[in-house]
Amino acid sequence: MSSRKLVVALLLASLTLAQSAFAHHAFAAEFDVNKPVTLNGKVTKVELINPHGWLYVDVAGPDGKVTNWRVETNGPNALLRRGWRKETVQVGFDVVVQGYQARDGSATANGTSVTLPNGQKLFIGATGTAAPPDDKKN
Amino acid sequence: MRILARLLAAAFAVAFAAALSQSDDRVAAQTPAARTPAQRSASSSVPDLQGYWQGSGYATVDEAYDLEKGMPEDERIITGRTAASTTNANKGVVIDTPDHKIPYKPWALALRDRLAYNVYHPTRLEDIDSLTRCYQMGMPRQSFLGGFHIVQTAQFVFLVHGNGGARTIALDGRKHLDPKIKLWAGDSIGRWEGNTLIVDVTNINDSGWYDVAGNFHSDELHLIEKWTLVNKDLLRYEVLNTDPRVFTRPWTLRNEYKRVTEEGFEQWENACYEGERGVELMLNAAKKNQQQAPQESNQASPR
Repeated sequence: MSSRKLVVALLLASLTLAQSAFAHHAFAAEFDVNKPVTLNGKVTKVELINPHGWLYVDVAGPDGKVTNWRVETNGPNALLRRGWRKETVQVGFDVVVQGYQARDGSATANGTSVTLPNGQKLFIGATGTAAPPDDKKN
Repeated sequence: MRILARLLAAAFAVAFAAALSQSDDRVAAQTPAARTPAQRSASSSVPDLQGYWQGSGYATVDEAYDLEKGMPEDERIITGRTAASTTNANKGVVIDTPDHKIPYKPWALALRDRLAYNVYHPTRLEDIDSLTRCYQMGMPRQSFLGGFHIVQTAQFVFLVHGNGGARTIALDGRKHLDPKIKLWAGDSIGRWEGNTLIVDVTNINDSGWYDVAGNFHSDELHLIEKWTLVNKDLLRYEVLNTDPRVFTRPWTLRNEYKRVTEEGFEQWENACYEGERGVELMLNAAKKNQQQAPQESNQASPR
């Protein structure tokens, strides 16, 4: 499957199964909408676990100091229904993650998307409703 | 012993239902046409509710945060949703009260407001929604949140929830448990009236909320659920909530479910606890906030 077809398939999957999500958290109690982050770094660990998955990414700051960020994703059920597989995001991948930083100020974020080395941008929103196609549907 | 026996029976029933559904799924996967069940079960005159169902709006996403207000604005932004995308923000799921508000007694409304505040300013575990802490969803929350798999026999209807947990509805004419017994899912006894499964639910504990935002009930809550098969792919849910300790009058919550018709659909486990870090983040965030703005602190819940 070409990259373009894969992206289309993932978007379609998120369209048809968006309603499988449910509110598990008061996200705004954990994450700060006023602190959007874009993390450029290398994946060090992938946890496809419930109720949310976690990506760990080494990010170098302006001073060269590397910080290991942990990024909350949607749960594995939702990711799998979108077309994710264990190998979709691998340790060692250079990725760009977008999300919102935790209110406690730690190197923790609620992820909304991850861009892979081949340019694919995948939605990882933690409620299963973060993908723009979900909004187009409503 | 009676309770133990019923719990064991329920566990067996759920296991049986899961095994039965797996078997059904495999057969169905080989014969796609068979995946659309008849509106009436083949063996009786009652409707056939069996299959996978998913919320079609109402409380599935937005109002699951707050039954009265829907999803807060900053939640919408963080979760990538726009106000226009939240389909039922102004419709409400509470269908028979003015402005779709829950008819709390004054003391209960004050408590609800404190609980809602504490969700965003928690100082202790109990300030955080029990579902976030990976407890069971409880009733009636598990009946209007997310999706589920229904398996039915002449004697029981089983609801196996995608979010975890299950409920057994007995149709065999038994009596309710001793009222001193309080359970997350309560005690469900049902009967058929036409196309509607009517379920009387008692013995519900007071440990769960209706939503993330602190809407609550006491252990005197009594539910009358109506599950109506509108057509073979649409299931309407209405639940009458009576709790004389907390509410001024009974009120009704409504949701609708669509049959999942996706080829090969399976419902997978959702083991909540293994990756749960929301509690840590919430408490740390509140602690930091308290250090920065101590004047906003001390809103401890009386519960």
